[in-house]
Amino acid sequence: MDQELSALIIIFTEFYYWVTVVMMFLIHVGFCLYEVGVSREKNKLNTLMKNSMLIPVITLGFFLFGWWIYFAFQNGPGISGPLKSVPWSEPWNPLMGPHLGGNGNNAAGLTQEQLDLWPRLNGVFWAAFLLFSWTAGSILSGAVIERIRSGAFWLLSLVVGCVTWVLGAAWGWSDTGWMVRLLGYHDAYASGVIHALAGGSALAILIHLGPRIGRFRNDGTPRVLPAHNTWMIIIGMFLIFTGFWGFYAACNIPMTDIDPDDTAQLFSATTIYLTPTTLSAITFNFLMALAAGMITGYILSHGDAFWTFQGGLGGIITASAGNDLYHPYQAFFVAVFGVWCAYKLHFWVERKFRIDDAVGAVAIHGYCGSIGVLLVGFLLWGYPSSPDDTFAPITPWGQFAGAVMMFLLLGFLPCYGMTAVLRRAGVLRIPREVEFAGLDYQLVHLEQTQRDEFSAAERHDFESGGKEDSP
Amino acid sequence: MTSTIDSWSSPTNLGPLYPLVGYEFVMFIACAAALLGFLVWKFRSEHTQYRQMVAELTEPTQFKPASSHSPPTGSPSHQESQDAHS
Repeated sequence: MDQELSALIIIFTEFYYWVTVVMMFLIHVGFCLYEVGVSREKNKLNTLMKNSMLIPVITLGFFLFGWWIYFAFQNGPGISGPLKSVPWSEPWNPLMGPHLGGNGNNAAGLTQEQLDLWPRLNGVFWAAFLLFSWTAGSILSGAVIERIRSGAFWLLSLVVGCVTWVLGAAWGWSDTGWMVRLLGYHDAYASGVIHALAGGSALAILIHLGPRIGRFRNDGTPRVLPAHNTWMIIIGMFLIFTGFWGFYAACNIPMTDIDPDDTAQLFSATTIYLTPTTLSAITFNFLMALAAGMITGYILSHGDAFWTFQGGLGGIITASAGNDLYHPYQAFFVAVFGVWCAYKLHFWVERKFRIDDAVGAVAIHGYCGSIGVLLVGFLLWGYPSSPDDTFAPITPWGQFAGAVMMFLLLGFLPCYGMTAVLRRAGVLRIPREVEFAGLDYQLVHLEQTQRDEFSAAERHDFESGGKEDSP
Repeated sequence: MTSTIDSWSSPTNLGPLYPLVGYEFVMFIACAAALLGFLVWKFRSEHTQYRQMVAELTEPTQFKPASSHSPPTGSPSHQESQDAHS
């Protein structure tokens, strides 16, 4: 009976993550629509391909080293223990491919427990994390549109999507991460480990990249650049919201015996920290945070569609860190606070430092994510961070350290250094002439030439009375 | 033959299902080289492409945004507008 139950749990979990991956694909569809909608007509194809091609780049990187980093670096290494031995995630291990779990050939020294679990969970669990990596890359992509070189962007997104956010997840978003163990860091739905980190990375890149030509007046005030297609933006945002459900589901472990000492067994969904929650709880909180964010964005922007929907996203991101435990009213007011702060900060930073963040990514992901992590420290102060009672409890100072770690140390600093090198090498920004003419300049002219040739041929054939093209 | 499986009759003993078992590290190196090669190719081709575009665009007649492209001479829309003027 126990074996049948274990088999059922494993097969169910495999299918559960597989479905979340399919849902999360919509996040990327949404990001593509949204970014192309924001970019100008003359840059739309380049914008689309810049974002789309991070999919293969990050996928390869995450298979080759990202997945291994997540498991191997949970102790730092050197902070709460050594580098971990995690054979199932090594890119040359048989468990990183189709495997039935038997010990028949080339088991590569795997234990029976690893052979029972990982053949069915490795691929789907890997893919769920990979989709988070794409999201991290896409957050950067929106901020830097219309002036970054694609090669530089893909390299930066490879580092953020396969190294820095994965380190953040290993340290603060795993059941044995050193930040959870020593700081009591709690970030159930990744406000900090993805959003704050990617927002900090985007800010660092924007500082070196500079604003688009003509974005600021001589007195430093920004010019408004209306989106070329508001419908695309709104549909894109709806798709991001839809994909976010998959993201939330993927952050949970769907079926775990949370009281293994009890003979009666108590099954529940848990967070990534193995602390209990329910899908019902996170459904309440997701929707209340969305509602709060949209209302706040609507009021602050006087009904602007872009900021209303961005507000909805920011609301979810702010509340996400504690949405496993918040009451829906708490999720609501946390989201209101986060979006209000992020909106004000966005325009203040834009004016003060001439930061041209084309989609408000630093505000909605970076500021909302950091604020969400900080608020958990006060609202969930004293809660256990793990089922392991030796771990530190949740505290304001643990969360503050976590927010600094995610936004600044793992987000901002590595990208600031790397972007400085790319800038110095002259491979960061596109030439001014090309920026002015439009990144699709060559393609548009090629297509125009093809249309002209076709039109001329069509006119010629028409005027000749169809004698030349008749069968 | 690349297969290590000769029967599906006792699946509990089956481990890896893919061909060329034992060559995983070689495939890893090849895949890493593909990723690195792609990025290097992109940096180089982008450099060449932008240099070429700048050269084109610095000719005075070409220096205009892509979105402001007007219908060329000979196209139906151009012809229609010419007819309307005459």
